[in-house]
Amino acid sequence: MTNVAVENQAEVAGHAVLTVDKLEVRYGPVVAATDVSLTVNRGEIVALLGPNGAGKTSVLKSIMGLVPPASGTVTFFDGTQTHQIARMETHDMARLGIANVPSAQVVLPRMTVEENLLVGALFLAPNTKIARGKVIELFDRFPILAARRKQFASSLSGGEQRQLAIARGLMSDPKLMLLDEPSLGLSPILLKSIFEMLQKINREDGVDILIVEQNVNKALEISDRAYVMRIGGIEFSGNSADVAEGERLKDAYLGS
Amino acid sequence: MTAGYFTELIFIGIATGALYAIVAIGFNLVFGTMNVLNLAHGATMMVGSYGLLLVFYVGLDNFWLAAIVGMVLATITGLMIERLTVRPLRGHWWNTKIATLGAAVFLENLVQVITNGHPQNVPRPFDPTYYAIFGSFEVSDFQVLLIVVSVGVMLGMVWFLKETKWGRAIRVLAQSPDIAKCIGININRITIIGFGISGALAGLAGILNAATFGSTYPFVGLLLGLKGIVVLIVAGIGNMRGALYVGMVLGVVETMAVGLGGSTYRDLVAYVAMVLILLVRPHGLFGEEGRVVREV
Repeated sequence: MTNVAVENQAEVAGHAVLTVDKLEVRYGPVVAATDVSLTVNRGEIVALLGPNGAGKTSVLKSIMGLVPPASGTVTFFDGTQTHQIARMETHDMARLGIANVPSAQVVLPRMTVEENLLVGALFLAPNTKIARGKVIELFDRFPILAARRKQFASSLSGGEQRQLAIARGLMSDPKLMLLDEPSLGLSPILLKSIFEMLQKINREDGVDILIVEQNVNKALEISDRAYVMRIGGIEFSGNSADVAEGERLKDAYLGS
Repeated sequence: MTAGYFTELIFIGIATGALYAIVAIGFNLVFGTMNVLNLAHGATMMVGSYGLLLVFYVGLDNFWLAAIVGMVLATITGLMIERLTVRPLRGHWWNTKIATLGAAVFLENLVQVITNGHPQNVPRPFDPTYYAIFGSFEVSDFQVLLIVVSVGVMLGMVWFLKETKWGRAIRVLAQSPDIAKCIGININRITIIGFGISGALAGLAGILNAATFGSTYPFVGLLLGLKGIVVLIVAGIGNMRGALYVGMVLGVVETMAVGLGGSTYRDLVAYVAMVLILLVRPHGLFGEEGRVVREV
């Protein structure tokens, strides 16, 4: 991997919200990702790209503690305090202000839209009243969800389910949001609106974002910086505009 | 057969079925939501009934106090089973099942050794009074109590799961352990709560059963637990209301079989009914299609 990330890290030290250092992810004897180092700085959208099977989702799951890292450190700065989170329980991470929007099962199918949102804050907000207030606030922002509030989440379309998952992530007023392939299975129009939504969340809500994406062009469009993975390691990284221009991106996907 | 006798059979059937329903609801709580088939559920019922006896044994002659002690002991048993067999083996679906079966064998034989295996007489909370409703049809106040308690338990569980914070956490966990963790749910704690409540329900079922028959024995939970599983499967895993209805129907069908054909056919009827229903609806009467057992 090149030094762009390291330079950035040095440049803005102290502003890093998430710092992953030499992370290794294993499923038993199988190594899914190794020597992964990356940083998300205050105010940034960072994209983690790479072909299928490169280990992107594993890295994301490992940061969130859903697959505990085999080695390496993960540091999270919540604005006042630095936390070592590599060995932390996932539910404690959620408490620190890290929201995770998964890609496989995005919503709770047998709960209504309203309940899906409510549980996003129920276990993190100081009390149920605050959580309920937050639901009303988010219904204002997501009118499609408001219109379907009493429906079971399983009855929503793919695009609506993604929106619901993102809205649920926002329920807890997170500082950092990890998103796993929010564009998966969406039409181009829906995809556009989801990415616009993410930009808005980043700029207006001040939520820093680490996003894993298959749709490289779109992800580079909205992100500040990007890391490109290939076969379990980070191949290179840089500012998204540079990554989009460079030849190395093609190499990473097509092999060289 | 007179209409009175027929109605009486139905009523006894509903009372018996209510008991099955409580057993199934307890199973449901950990199977439908935490995906653990706790084969020690029957043994936990047995512990409840012996907890009840313990109070009489030490000389206190109060059924209601004894019932509370029985339920507390059953709750503790449920918690121990979670701690000793389920938690260390999380993620190993078959191993967990075998371990809970081991816990059941241990508990049943422990009580067998302690009590020399003799069935014990269990005092009743009160002597049932029979009321003639019409013709020769009689209802005892004890049967009414059984039905009221089990319907109450079922409604209470539905309310708990739908409206309370812990209940919601259990439902989130049932649908996605990963999402549960990511929204701040401590799944260890929720699993403990689930097993605690399930244990208390098992204790309640064991006590009601012992009081109904006026006796208990170390292996009382085997057959009752099996009936609970039948109800659970026929109703559809995870469905509380379904468990109540199916429990009631099973009780009635069994009682009819006994009343009309003799007690030989009692258990045969339950299992034949289960097979027939599963042939038509493989996911149970109230279960949802596509909801398969998930490996946690």
